[in-house]
Amino acid sequence: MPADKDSTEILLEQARPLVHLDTLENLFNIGRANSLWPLTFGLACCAMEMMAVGASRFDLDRIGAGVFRPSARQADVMILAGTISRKMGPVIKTLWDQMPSPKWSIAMGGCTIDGGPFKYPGQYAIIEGADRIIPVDVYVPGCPPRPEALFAGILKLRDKIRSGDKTPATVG
Amino acid sequence: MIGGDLGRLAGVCASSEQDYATRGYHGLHEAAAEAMPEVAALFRAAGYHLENLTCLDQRAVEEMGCFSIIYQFGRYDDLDRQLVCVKLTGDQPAISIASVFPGADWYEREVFDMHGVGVEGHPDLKRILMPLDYIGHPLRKDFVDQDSLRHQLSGVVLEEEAEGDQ
Repeated sequence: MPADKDSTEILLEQARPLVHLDTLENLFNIGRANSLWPLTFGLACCAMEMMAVGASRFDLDRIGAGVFRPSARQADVMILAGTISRKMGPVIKTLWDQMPSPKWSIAMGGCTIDGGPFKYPGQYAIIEGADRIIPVDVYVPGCPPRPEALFAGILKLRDKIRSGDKTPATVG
Repeated sequence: MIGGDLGRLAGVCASSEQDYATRGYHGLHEAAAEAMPEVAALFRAAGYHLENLTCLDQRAVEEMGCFSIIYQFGRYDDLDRQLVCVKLTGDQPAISIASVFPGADWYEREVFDMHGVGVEGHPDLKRILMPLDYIGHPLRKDFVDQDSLRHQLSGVVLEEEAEGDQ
């Protein structure tokens, strides 16, 4: 230990990585980013990949995001996994409105990005993109995306929350 | 194979044997809409189940000019599939067979939802796939989606549209 440093300096140096002197909001954001609780629901086939992400092989619990909540009142993040039919649209909107702020959403797969394979001129069945009904934070392309891609999307969302960045992001 | 238990169909249907290898069914029967409950009851008594019930918009086809309701009956103990075709001219409604085959209930709702064909005697005729407040019937050949904006935006009726309704 160098003799020219006094004990206070040494202590500060050792503690620096642990103590963040910043605004309270940033402190909250670190907490939010590390405990993303998704809402439990799946819309179509993408939900299978979402379940795989939650299960042991990929294991969302590693980053504290595996606590799927059965109530919108307890959820932070809405993973839109699958086609949004027109009949389902108002239900998604209601669920989103029921989630307390701050809240985020991930559009998973082609259907929730722009309608995907079900989009054609004059189609009557689906909503062409989740961002037509709710704001989307992270877009994860794929049909369906691999579980790794959704995982990357959640990591991306974590980074966004930590940095306070509110612009939509895309994985890949 | 139209004889046997199905022999009594002759009184209510114009029946013809078909080549299963090329058509995929063994018999084709043309029935009047009013006769359908009776026809369905005959099939049920003969041990058939309802495989499918669908509708075709053939109004633009010259020799047809109507909606056709297609009933598919099959059985498990034998390779035997029978089709019943009912032609509906104009606004003529189909007659429900849900009292004979309860499974026909939702099929008939789908026919109503997608083609706008009425079904008389149905226990609860309302849309099944499209939103209950949807305008139009998507599988009609002359269908144009007039409802896209309303359901694409937020699921909430637009203000000007709501004013128009009053």
